[in-house]
Amino acid sequence: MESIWNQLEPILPLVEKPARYIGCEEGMQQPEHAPHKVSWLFTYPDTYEIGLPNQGLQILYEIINERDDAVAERSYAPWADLEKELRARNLPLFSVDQHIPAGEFDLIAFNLSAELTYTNLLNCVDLAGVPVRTADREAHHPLVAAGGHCTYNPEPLADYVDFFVLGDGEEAVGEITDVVRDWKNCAEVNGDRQALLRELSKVPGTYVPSMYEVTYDGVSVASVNPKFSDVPAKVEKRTIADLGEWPYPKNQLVPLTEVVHDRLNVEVFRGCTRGCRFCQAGMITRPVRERPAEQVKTMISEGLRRTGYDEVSLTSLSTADMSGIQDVVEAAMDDDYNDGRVSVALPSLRVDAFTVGLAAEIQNARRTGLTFAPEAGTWRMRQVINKLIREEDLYGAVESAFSQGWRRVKLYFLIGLPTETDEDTLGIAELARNCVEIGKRYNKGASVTVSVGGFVPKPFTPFQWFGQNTEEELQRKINLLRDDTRKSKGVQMKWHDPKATLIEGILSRGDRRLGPVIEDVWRNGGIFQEWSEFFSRQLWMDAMERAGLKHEDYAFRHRHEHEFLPWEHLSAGLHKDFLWQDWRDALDEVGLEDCRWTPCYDCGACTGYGIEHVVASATPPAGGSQGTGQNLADGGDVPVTLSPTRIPAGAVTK
Amino acid sequence: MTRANPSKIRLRYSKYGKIRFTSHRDMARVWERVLRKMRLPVAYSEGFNPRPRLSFGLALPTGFESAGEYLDIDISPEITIAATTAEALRLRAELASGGGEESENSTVLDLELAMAQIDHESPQGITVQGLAQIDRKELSLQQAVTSCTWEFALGIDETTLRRAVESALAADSLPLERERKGKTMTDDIRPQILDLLVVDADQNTPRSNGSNASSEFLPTVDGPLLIAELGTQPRALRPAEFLQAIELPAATSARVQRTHQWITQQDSGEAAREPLEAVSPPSVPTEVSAV
Repeated sequence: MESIWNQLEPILPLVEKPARYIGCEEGMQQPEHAPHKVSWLFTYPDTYEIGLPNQGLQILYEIINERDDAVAERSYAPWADLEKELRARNLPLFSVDQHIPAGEFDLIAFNLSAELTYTNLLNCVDLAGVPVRTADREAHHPLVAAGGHCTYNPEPLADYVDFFVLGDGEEAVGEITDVVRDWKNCAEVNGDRQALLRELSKVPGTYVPSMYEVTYDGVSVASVNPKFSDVPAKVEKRTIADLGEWPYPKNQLVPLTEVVHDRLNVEVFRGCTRGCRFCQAGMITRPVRERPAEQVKTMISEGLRRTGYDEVSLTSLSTADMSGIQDVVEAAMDDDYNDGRVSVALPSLRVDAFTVGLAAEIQNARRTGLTFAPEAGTWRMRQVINKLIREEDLYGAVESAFSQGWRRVKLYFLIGLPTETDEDTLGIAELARNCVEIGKRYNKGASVTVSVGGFVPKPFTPFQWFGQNTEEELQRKINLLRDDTRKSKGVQMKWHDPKATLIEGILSRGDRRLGPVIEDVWRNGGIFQEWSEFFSRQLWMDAMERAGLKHEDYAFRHRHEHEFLPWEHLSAGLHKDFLWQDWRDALDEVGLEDCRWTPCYDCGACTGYGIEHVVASATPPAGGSQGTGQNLADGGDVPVTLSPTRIPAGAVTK
Repeated sequence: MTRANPSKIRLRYSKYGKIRFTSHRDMARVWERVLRKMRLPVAYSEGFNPRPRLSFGLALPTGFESAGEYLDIDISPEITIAATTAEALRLRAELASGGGEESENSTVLDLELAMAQIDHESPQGITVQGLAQIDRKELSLQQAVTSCTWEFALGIDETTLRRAVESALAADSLPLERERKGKTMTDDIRPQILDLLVVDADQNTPRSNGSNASSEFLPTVDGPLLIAELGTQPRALRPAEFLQAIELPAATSARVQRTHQWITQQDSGEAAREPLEAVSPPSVPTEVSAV
């Protein structure tokens, strides 16, 4: 494998931020390739700044490089200026570690976190010199793979990606490596790509779309069936039972140039059982698996010393929910590293005063802004979405923030939620005004920024049946709020472009017929659709028309109870009847308490796989209603079976 | 030995290879992390958001290499600085036997060891070439440095280069339009061109200037080199501006390195000196603490 650095070097002075393409990060690995070794190129289909911090890719990068029989490097989507120079010189996509052409790897594996990056995946594959369609690839081409949250409905990319992996990748990546290695080193089959894909389809969690036949019934899918008897009819997601067994990344990459989340990141738990009905992440990553507090402390302490960072972020879907969070935070603050000048960031603040108190303790730096996500403007609406934050929780949190020196509070809301009325929408403005009033008691310049996003229903959530609001309806609600807050001093409003929300909505619950649409958009220059300077609604609309498809059928149409959904052959463990019941409860405005601290609802995520929550304490953490609507101020015993019940790695019950 | 004010040390390093594509700002963050990693007792600014007190020299344009970059670091006042390991050992022994209040708070910083450790912790392509205490009243690098010597490998033939150099040197003035505070100004940059020289391809090996970077990082460039000493006061003449003024187009594959930064004291009669002379980093085990 030849490095193409010598050809890249002369063109880097021509492009913006060339440091994105040089690698050289602390933690970078330059493994030795060999013909018998399996080589992975982990690729993020967006810029280096967005992709480098991705923890999923960093974890897999380390796990693979620990093996003797495999190597891993990384790649990111080149910005348009570099792409132009590469294409002008016939140079391919390359790894940043050793600048090896992407097409020379055995696998190009993407992380898919956002629908609008799909066209970039095609662009990266094409830049690698690999045919974009799976059907056109031959034995010598790399396998194109993808993981990440978007792969719970991978159908729009089914004709472009050789296989998808559902769920946690830590174990699956090794099993896939074994299969590819055996295939490569077996003279009888190594020219037979179909044989390899067939073998891969038997690895639990691995979905090979070309092994399935899809039939349609008008606008909906009628069936998805495996073409061969040894291919599973249903692909189950992978779940690692114990996060403590996977203390990765051990050597987090420290980039030379600035990226998002430019700090040490330590994952404190995976999964969330709050049960917010709009939240796909919370549904598909169940159950809760906490990392042991002692391990978290070690990872913080060693990580800071290794990287030289002075800030650590404790990542999860709701970090204040970790058992013993206070203890972990105090340990980080008491560490004598950098003479105690360490900031701890909680990226997902729970809405209550306790959490703000915690934030106050740990934010050494300036107190400029604090962000909360009440998600909806009225209690009724919050019961529908099961984000059970009482108004007094929010006001308590906001008062706590302003009284402790913060000057600006940012509130995240969704609009276009099921059953939403204008009263609910305007409730957002009302909450914001009340928060400003509270702030004014402490600071004349107190301000509240309201950030509004249009709701996109996602697969494997109770809202997967809901037809999302039209662009016009979302725009009308934005205007309603804008008019209502125009004269409210101290309230600023920001919103997400409803045009982008529409395209996300088409892809989120789409089927294979959208493949040619994505390809069409890409062929017409539609790359970096996450970026406003590149996003084009028109490209998508034209492509839909050319494909003979209607965007309203995909985005705005309510699905009925017995409709076959395009992802019906995949499973996140959640029973469909549980989701349907939760959808009915939503419409009845009935909330559902967190199952960590209440009896099991049998959603399927634990029972189906023979795993359980892994939490260090059966007592809910102190403070507020914990966003559950329950009175948990005093804590209390709750019927949760405590961890850990070890199950052998890879054992997934079906 | 305790001082009320922080003491100052100056670091010298070279920058070659892939890392040349990092910006001045990127390097500032890199140094902050490197110094934290090796726990150098850097003085911090006061206030609600304390920052390490580092001051950087003249920015090196992104993409350029250098045989000599500098960074001034303020060291906490209670730290005693020793130039060598031998001196550090002696001072530590004295402090230990002396007892008293001073020894309780004092720590000795061994610069010889620190230099090796900084070199060890710094990214690929950076080689530390010197670390020494300087007078804390010394002018900042940005004020003190009066000129820089640049070496251009432009991919331009020798005849064209020599012609451009001759006409530049013969000119009484060289007007250049450049932006300043949003306005376009025309400046005469001729006085800022202090020396120009063309070195032909055969002699094209003068890349030993203090740099002990391993050869893998050293650029290999064919063709003649243009060597220029350009003034930096009151405002630095940038290499790109210089090339524009003498009408030499830079090929995209051009390699430019800063070989020297000079401090010339006007009217002093003294020869120009570098802010810190380059030495080879001693090979010292890095597990030993410099502090």
